[in-house]
Amino acid sequence: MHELGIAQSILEIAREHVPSEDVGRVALIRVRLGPLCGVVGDSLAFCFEALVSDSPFPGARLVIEAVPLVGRCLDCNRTVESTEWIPSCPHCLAGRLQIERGDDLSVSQIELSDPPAEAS
Amino acid sequence: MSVITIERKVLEKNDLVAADNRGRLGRHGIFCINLVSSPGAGKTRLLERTLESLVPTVRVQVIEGDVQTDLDAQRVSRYAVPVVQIVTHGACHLEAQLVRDALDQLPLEDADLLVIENVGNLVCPASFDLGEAIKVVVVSTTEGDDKPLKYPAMFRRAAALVINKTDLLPYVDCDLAVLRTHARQVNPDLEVFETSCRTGAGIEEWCTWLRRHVQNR
Repeated sequence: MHELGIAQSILEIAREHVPSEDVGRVALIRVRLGPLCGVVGDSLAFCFEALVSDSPFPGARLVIEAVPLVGRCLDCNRTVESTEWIPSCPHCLAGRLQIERGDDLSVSQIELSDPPAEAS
Repeated sequence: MSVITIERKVLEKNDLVAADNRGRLGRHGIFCINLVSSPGAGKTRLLERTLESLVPTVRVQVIEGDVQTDLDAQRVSRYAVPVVQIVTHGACHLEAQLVRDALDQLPLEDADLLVIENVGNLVCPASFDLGEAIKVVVVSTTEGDDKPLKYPAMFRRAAALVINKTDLLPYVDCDLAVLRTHARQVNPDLEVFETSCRTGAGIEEWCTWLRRHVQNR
């Protein structure tokens, strides 16, 4: 259950990237999760909810983008892509996979809502 | 709506400290392994067997990670090696900063090999680089032969697998060939050892491999 610390790190990264005057406008934080990053999306969302209300941007939502695992089958040599962990090649059904990507665990984007219109 | 695009690894801070630990260990010429497994697979017993074989030819130091108690450090200290116990007080894994603090307490100038025994857990420790050269994952035959498929992240990041408690094979439903196949399916490069810490079977093969890594560091 390390998702609480991960959620905390996401909030800290967001805080570092948003200018102080815009902190109140943070609406959405996008993160990328690969199937092999060792973090469970649902748990992360739960922990984020628990922490965000006491953060500098209590209204921010977390959007989790599942990025696929990418690899190559060592037996049939075909490229494999999957949003879930797969133990063997889905093409030849037997081959072992050399996984090239799937560990993603990153903050990719922060969206700020429009500033309130200036009083004329 | 305006968008700030960033590409920041969530565990960047941990990774930076881990890189710092790695540099520090490198400057001292220390080979470091991060020993991981589920609770009760036999990490500490394997470490004790390893110490029996390597000490004093190889100068070993140990960092023990546990949720509570210093029982493991007490066990290891019987082998007259420097040991630091990290108690995480509930946290399910070690982080690089905890290891950095532990390194401050060790006489690193007198070490060839540092063994970090992680908290017993096959999930969370996979995500946290500590600065080790390699991860070694231990599974016991009593856990069955499907562990690599259930916890692929950990097996994928490990350089070696030690299958422990082989003396219990007659009593458990664990097929070593199947376990090996599953492990190599997840990580084709995995080095696999079979040990019984109880009888001592296989310990020398494992220690020979480890000794070679220490010599070639």
